[in-house]
Amino acid sequence: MGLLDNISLGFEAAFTAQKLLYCFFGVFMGMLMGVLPGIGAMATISMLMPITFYVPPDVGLIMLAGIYYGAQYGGSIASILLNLPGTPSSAIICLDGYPMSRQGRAGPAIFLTTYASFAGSFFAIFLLLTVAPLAARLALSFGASEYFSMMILGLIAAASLAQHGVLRGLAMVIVGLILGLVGSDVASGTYRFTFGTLELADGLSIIAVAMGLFGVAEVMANLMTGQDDRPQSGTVRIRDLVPTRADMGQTTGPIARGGVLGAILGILPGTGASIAAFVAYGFEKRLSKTPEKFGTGHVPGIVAPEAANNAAAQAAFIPTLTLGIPGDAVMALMMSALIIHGIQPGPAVIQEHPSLFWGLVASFVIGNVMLLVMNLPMIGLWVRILTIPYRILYPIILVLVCIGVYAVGNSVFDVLQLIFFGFVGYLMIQIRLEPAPLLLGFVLGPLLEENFRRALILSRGELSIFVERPISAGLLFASLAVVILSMVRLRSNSKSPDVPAGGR
Amino acid sequence: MKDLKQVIMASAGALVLATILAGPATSAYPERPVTLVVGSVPGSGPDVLARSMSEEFSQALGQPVIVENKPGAAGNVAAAQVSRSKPDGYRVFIGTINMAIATWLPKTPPFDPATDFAVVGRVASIPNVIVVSPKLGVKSIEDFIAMAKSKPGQLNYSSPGVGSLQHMGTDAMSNINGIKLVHVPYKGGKASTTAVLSGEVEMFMAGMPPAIPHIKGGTLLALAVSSAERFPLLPTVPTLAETVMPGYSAEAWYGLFMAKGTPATIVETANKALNKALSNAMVIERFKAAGAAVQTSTPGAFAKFVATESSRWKKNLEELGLAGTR
Repeated sequence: MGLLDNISLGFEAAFTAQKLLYCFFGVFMGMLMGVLPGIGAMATISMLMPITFYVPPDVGLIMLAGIYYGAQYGGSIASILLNLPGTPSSAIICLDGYPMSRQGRAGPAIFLTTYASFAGSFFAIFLLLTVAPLAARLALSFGASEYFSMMILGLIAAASLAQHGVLRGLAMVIVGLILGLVGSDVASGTYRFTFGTLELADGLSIIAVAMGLFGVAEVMANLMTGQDDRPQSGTVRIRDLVPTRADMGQTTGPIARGGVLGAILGILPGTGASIAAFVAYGFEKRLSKTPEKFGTGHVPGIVAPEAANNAAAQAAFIPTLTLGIPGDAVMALMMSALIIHGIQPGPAVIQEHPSLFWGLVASFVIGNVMLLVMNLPMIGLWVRILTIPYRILYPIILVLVCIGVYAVGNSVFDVLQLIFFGFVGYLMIQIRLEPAPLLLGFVLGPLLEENFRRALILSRGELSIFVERPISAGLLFASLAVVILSMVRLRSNSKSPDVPAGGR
Repeated sequence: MKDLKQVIMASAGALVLATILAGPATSAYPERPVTLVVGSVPGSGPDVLARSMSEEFSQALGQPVIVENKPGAAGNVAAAQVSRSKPDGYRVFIGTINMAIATWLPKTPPFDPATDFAVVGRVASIPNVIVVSPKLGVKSIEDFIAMAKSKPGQLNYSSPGVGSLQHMGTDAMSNINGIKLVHVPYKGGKASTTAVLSGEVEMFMAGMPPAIPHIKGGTLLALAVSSAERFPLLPTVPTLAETVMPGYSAEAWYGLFMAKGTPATIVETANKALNKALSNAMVIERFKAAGAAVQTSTPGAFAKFVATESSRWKKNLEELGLAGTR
């Protein structure tokens, strides 16, 4: 069957009143829950999954998928407006999105992230349509050594996340890596730093860490400064909502690069939207001619990660549907919804249920268009959130964050972690340490260690495994290249007449 | 006389009040929604089974059944919590064989599966299945053993963790047949299955749910199952007992548990409702799709079984030097 046949089959399957309705419901709920801090796709899908038992499997799947990618759209809105990520994968959007909001450019920022979400998703959908089976094979060619080398590349690329100096950034990455040690060691099964509590056996909760460091800490810091209760004037003019021509001019390259990175990381099981967003930001800053602008409300700093996390969310469907390998917890949930309906996800899905597969892909297109159309007129509404006085807004935020963190594991212990990391984050703000590199270390650390040790078990202790396998060697070479390039740039900078030799 | 009248009125009032207050305790269980606690994330094996039967279980109980995921420590965070919850039958835990294994790993076991619960009844069992890639070039479990003998210490196998049922099962198979395989632990059964698919490891004694789509799709080859009898979903696949491990059988089981001290009448009611739900053809069909065989029991018979399993795996972990090490 040709590509066009597939597409027309897909749209034929997706254009029924019921499917369009469920698609709309899914993306709407996903976006809404994505905006609410702490309540992400996982919580929403587990809450709404019972609905899928009463509709045909393809309809249910379209709805669940809509929640998943819809949440990626919504996640960045709270990051921009309140420096409070709606989902962990949009934590990085805070770095440049929140400064834009402070400069009164919240409208354009949301406009741009919506546009980047849309473009990133479309890029990944295009991949799904054209090279899905081929792309799926990429997932299988990644073994332990490849994952390790990719994590190294990710860490190096993202070492530039630091805004207050490299040393502080590296220190925070290391703190994150150490926090990632908490829990069961995969290679031996031993519990590490669990202090005898079963609750820590699976490690710290990523949502509690992310929401605590970014959200709760931000709320506390703002309360302590005792600033004006009404942060922005109540009027929002339409022309304040639309980005300038100069803004738009800066988007193409970052979105394209973010889309490619996101799609690749999304296909690989175990990595995912959060890592994609971090790495895309890091790469963009590395490649930029003006890296010093990042962190001050620079447009590429929001569009690249936003394109990446949406592309990753969309591409994550490729291994799930074509290989039966779920890339993350949400995908595993979706697989089980299919299984309950008697459909076995796996290599046979495209052949056995072509209208389900292509219908789902077509629904991605429809859902993304819905999200775009729905989001642009709503920007004014979102921006108005900023006019809510803090004394009303902050209690609402704290309650929502607590609910969101609790809902993930129905665990009070996770809420305690949230409070703990809220205090830690507040202290970090006071001594100018940044949460983003810490979160990156926390996300990458466990994967890095697990795959390093697994690769060594497989090679019977030979370190050469990392350079003998071509993909792994290529990734390590790329890491080296990034390091050398930045050193060259550093040298040429110090040679330039503006900066006296010998540094600052 | 006025005083006496007042006393009588007051006592009558108190009596009425007492009846009203005592009402819930004596009236029939259940009279409010029941929570079915799952010890792992949505989409995991026990979660799929819980959601596959929650509707029918609810109909049989006459009250809504709410599935609640409380993941952590292979299900033992939820198990420990339910064992200590109020013994009123409103928090029901869908327990797995991990209750009888993982509880013995920490230095202080969080609970004893045999004594710290009111056991409601068995739900299902899922055997393990030994899978290899078709590209490995073996056609039977005997072939695989022969290959492992010719390449001692060269073949790898995956498992969802040190001290998991899959790890212990493969270890037992290696010992009985005098072969040496290298253990490569992964995070969970799905990642372990992917490792065989990608060729990173040669073999996995998999739980049925993550393996079955690949067995059906032809991307994985099933060599043997770990149950005592052949598994209905894979009738042509021999058991380990009839091939390379005579007398061996081990299956992942699932059952419902309530807090220690729950009244026997409540346990009986829940057991009857459970067995009714499990006799529903739709439930049986959904379980089958997930790779599980429905199994029912009385509370007493299942309690006895859990106690046997608990001591079996405790002993096994002690032999491996893993008990009480975490």
